[in-house]
Amino acid sequence: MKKIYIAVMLMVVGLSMGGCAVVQPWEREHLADRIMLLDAAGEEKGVVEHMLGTREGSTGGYGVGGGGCGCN
Amino acid sequence: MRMQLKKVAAAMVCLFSIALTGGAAMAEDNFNSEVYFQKFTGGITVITPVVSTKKDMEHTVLSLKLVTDFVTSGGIGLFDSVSGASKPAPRVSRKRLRALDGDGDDRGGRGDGDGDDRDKSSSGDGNAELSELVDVRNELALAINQMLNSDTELRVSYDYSREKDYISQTPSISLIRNFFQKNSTITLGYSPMFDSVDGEFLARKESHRANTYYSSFTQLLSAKSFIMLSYSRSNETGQTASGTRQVTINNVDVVETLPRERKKETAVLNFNQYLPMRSSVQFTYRYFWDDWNIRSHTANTEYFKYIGRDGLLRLRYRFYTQPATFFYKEIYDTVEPFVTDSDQYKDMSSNMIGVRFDYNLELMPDSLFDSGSFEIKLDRYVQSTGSSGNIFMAGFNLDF
Repeated sequence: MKKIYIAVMLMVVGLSMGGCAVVQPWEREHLADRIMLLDAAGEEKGVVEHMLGTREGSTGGYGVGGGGCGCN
Repeated sequence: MRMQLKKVAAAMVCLFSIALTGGAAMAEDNFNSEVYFQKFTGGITVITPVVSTKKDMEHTVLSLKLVTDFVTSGGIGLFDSVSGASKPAPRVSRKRLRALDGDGDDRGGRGDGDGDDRDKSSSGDGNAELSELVDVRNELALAINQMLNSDTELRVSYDYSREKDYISQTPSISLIRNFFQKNSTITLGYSPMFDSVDGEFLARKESHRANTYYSSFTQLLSAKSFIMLSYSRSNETGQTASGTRQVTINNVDVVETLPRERKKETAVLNFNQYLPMRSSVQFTYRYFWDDWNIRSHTANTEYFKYIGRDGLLRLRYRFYTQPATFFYKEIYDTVEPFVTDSDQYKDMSSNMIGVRFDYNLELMPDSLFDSGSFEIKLDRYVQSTGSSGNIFMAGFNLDF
């Protein structure tokens, strides 16, 4: 499984590196828009991830941090 | 170690208080307040107010977040409602458990099943005489983002969470480095976790530790799209079960027992694309695998669309699926080293759909706050186990 994962990741990275052009700072109007931000709703993500973490068998993967049990 | 962490946290709170109240206002300064109302199958309700603030001090950004969970049960039993694990059967209080386990061995917590010693404050047998159960979890999160130079940022954070039978402390550190005129970004992070578990059915307080390593790579693909790949690994040791669930084996309640070690790995792929008509779409795929035999897949899609000048609509769909852990059984014939019948560890899938709407508010010129927004959302969560729930949120954000 690890070999498959590494192969897929290398392929995706290779495709993304090869297929992209350098984006200049003055061309980033859309990238800076709030609808393109990954952490635009950070508080909401924390609450939802905490809820899911008590109901599903796998958690994490979206960064480092904590939050306790919430198992009650 | 825990005392040192508490002292560090206290010092950070003092520094934050001083910093947040002083200095000139910058672009990222804001105050956010949200309240979540979550209602799930079985009548369990969680009300979660969240308050956060951020202060931008040119090269340093300070963040503070306070979260409280108020948990109530609809009277059929808190633990059943959350996990679906404990069957309506007599429970054994911690005091009785200690008496039964006179040798100090807290594993397996055998109950006598006669119901004489049930814990009235937390039993889940559905009797009308039982009062509604309440638990409260408080969480404090502090973070400092420091620009080391134009391309390098250091993030240090501390998260403290406390409830009546569980305390968690999680410091973390991340280094974020931009390359190629900020077209590429690499993030490396490390986070140790120090938990103290004191669940009702445990004979004594136990520790739960975890070390998490995180890395991510972000690449701009064009002026309207980017991709992020991340990988994290976490090694857990100690009391991985909460000590609040039991399994009924031959009419005897046994404390849920999970392996005391767990190695988890996660790979996540994000793709964001800006679309015509002031809209965008975000795809996230997560693959999770561990040595408990869970191989889960999570796919999440979010669509954003500006409505008029001040409105922002978000539509969300999330799908999740997992197999059972190697020790999960719906029914146990005998007590085994690991026992759980919690839905959390069974073969299951879930779907979540949601809608969120943000609306920018016009504020008075020259007032304390420059601008603000009102936020509202509703999510519907359904599991293949039959469990389901609704999450409603209302909040506001003020920029100053």
